[in-house]
Amino acid sequence: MFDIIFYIFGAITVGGALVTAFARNIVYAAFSLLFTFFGIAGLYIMANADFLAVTQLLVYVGGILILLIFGVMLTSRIGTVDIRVGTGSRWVAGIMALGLFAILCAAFFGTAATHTEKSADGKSQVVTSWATHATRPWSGSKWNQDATTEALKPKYGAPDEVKSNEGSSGTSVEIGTLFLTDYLLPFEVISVLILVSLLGATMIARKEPTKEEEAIAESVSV
Amino acid sequence: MTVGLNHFLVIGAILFVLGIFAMLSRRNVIAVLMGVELILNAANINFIAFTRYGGVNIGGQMAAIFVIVIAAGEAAVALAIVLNIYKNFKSVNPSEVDSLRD
Repeated sequence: MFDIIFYIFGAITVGGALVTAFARNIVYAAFSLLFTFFGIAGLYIMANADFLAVTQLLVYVGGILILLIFGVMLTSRIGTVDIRVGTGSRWVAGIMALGLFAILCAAFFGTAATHTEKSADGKSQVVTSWATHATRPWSGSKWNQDATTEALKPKYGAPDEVKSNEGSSGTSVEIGTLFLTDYLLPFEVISVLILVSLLGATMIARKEPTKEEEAIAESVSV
Repeated sequence: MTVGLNHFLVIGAILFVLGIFAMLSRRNVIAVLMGVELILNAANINFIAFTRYGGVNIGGQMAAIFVIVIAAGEAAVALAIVLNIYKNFKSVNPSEVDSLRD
């Protein structure tokens, strides 16, 4: 069941991304991006990242995608322009992308994953397992080394096979705690960054006042 | 074959190369920005996958949140720049925008 749902979400994600990358019309590209973002939110849920999934929907679908569609509508004559480059450049881009994909896959399937594990006598040791094998889920994390895993063991087997996260309170509590403890400085820095970028965006995008408007503004201020 | 780390990584890689392709083969700056969004999402999928399967703790999800925030800021600034480019050049084709002055 997990696998089937994963493949459905994966197909939605990849299909949307394919249309985004190959569509002739920019409006199709923008709207297929919607499906990609929804599929990715589904994948986040499959990977037990519930908070991230909601954030993905709010920020990407509700914010960035709307912004992109605004951009499309404010700049181009919709539906009349082919947005693809010439065939020659497309072939070069395609070959480069395929080569990159081959390198990445070679890296994924040729890498051994290591993780530390407590052996029977209580000493921790580094265990090497091939990445094709689903390595121990949730190991090394506070929020999942709770009683849930232990409690589910008789029902579902060893943690390797445990797929469900039922009984857990989700990741929001842990993420909120980390934001105000370990990640406080990055949190503050990034809030300043987003403030500056939003102010900068308004500065750049605002209309230059004409001479008459400037004169009016000055007379009002005086 | 049960779904594991590699399945997530491969989906991330597919999104990444499609984003690269979109960036390289588009004549519209906004379509290029869509490619950038695909690439950022690919990175996020990798973070989440390693949080789930890779034996790292929830720090991967924290990194993904920072990536999302930066993506939001990037989209806002980039769209503002694109609107200005359109105002000055009457075009959003990156090959035609090749001058730093009016």
